Amino acid sequence: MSNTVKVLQKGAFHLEAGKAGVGQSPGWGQANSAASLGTNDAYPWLSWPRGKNINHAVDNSIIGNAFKDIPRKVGEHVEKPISMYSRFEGMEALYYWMFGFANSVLPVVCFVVDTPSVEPLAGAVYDDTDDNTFTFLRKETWGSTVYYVFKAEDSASPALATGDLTKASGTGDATLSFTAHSTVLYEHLFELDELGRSYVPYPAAEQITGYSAGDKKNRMATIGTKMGTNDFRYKNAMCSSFGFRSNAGQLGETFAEFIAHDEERGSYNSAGWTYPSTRISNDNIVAHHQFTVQVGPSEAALTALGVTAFETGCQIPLEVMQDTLSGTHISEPTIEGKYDLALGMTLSRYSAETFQNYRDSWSNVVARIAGNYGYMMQELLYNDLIVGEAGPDESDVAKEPLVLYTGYNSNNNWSNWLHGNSLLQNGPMVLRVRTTESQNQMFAN
Amino acid sequence: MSTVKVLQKIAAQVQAGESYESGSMQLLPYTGGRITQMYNPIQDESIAGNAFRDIPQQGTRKVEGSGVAMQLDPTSIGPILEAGFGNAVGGVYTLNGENTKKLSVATLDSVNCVRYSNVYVKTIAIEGSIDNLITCTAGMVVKDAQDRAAKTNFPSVSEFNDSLNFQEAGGVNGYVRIGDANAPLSSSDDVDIDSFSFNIDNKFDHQYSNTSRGILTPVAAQGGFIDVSGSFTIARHNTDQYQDWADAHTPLQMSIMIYKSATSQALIEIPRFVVSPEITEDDIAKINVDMTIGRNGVGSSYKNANMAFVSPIRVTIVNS
Repeated sequence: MSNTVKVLQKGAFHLEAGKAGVGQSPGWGQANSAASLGTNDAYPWLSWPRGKNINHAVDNSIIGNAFKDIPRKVGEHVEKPISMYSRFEGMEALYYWMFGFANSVLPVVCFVVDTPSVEPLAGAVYDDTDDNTFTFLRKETWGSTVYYVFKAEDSASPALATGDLTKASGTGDATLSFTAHSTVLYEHLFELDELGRSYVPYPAAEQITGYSAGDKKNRMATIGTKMGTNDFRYKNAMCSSFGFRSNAGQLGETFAEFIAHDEERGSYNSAGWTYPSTRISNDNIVAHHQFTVQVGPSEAALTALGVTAFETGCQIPLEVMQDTLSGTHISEPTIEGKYDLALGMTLSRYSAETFQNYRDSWSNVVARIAGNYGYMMQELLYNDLIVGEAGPDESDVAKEPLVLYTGYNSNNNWSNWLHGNSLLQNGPMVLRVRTTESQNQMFAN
Repeated sequence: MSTVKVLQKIAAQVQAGESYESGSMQLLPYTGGRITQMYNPIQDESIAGNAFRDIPQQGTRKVEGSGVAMQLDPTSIGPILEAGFGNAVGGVYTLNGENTKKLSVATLDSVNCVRYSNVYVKTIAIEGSIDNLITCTAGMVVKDAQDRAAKTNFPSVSEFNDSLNFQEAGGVNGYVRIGDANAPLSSSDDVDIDSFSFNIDNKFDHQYSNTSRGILTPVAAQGGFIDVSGSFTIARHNTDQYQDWADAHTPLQMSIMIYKSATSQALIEIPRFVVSPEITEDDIAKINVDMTIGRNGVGSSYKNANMAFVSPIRVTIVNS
């Protein structure tokens, strides 16, 4: 036992099992529902107040003196926030826990190509000299860097560092000459689960690649922390809110709150909690200058904005409820209302009335917030937004704070940009990341 | 082009008609605050089998200035005081419980000229403190939508002059006088204060109907009695007079003359109030005094006959 020094603590996170078979979690509050924490489960964190909520009831009975008895303990559960830096890689399991659904993983290769005379259109198919097939998805621009992103139909990248891609079908130059390319990377698409957060079997439409009969959607995780005294473990932790924020000149942050069944203290193998290289390198932290923020009336008419700060947050209204079956603990939280999703940003300078006009006309817009580092990428796509508040602020050089309201729209306003993906939830916000992780974390446990 | 604060302007004039007017615009010695416009979102709460809300529908429009701050300059403050007090006769401003005065306001920044019509002054705060200029801050309720126009539409304006400063409430001609309301104030009632603040709330508010996204014409006192409150700080605690007055609930009166010159002055008069003093924790203790201000009678029957007006506060402006 020793003093608890903050910088010597460690955090760990592991999704609880939903895969069919031995080890599948028996569910909220049950024995053996916690996941084992170990290799590659450690997460660097910034703030995380530990503890649990104890509810008590006071004994008010009259007994002939003026002193109350100590109260009875009648309830206990955990509700805590946590924050960490946003990272390009190593966060896929956390994103699934936050969003609630992980769509199919696409293997992709990013090419740097000589400027074509006819730009390829999404769906165009090309082959390399090794007969690997690539389907064009989109063209990404990062400052002066342009990537042509292809789905790697054979899950392989060209053996040659430079060479040609030859068109097999679709629109685009007959030959694309590439001067560099990535290895095979994997694009993960996270969607807010339209049906809530309960521990349930997958409906037919969600039985995508990776699914096996009997699998259940499990958005519970075991979160651990190594303290100076003991290891603490919060089992059945469900995400009740999450978000992302970034400020100019700083590192981006990911934040969340969770509701867990209980706090357990003991020995939970904290010495064996290790960081994967993707999650410990600070090169992988998303800095503000690596973000691109675009807003416009459609995906084809986006304007890149100078943004000094943005924050987006999603409240997941989980009911905290206790009954005669749950004892002093709470029953499995279930969604009790609609998601409350907000996006705010501050334009660095007020220099046009564009957004006031959007506000007054109540026009629909879409937005994209994306970060890149080498071939790594993460982007938030907002399908339908209203500019609710706009106009200059009080700064000496006026900035323009924007408040955008999100909404549900069954039309996919990012259909071209999301070519190759089929949205299954149609939520107001999706997160797409491009990393070296090939496993869909929804089916990893 | 970026909008730089020091390059902005704001001008106002009392509006006689029902739409924007700019024939006698007065440039204000503006220091901060803005009139903003927004639309309230109406959420669609219908249950549709998934957990996502639709985007909200556009609701009512709210145009308001939460605190447009300016320095108090006798040349330029007239429109603000007239709209904020409701009665203006020869530079004398008294509160009108049925205030219908309104302003046209124009602002200029690096992007455009924004014109506002039917601007009602909901609140006014007049404040002064050591080593500061006297300030006036106006909260506004605006009936009409903002009209964003080209910068060239910013109107011709009358310029402002030097603002009054706190030290001019002293010296040869300036003063702060507080005394029992049963006798006229005189130089024997002069006191040393290091700050004062007066706040008026006309209780204009946003009220809507089905016919428009905009508000109905604001009505003074639609939110209840017009509130007038005030406070000042006696620079040193060297008397128990304020505690004695508080204990006896003695009606008091106050006048503040801020005198820059024969042609640039402001006189603030409070005819009837009671005090709640509090001695501060400073090394040299001060007395913070809260004022509960009331009307001075009804009609022409004045409870404090030494100040022959009913309004809880009167401001007299002298300018050239």
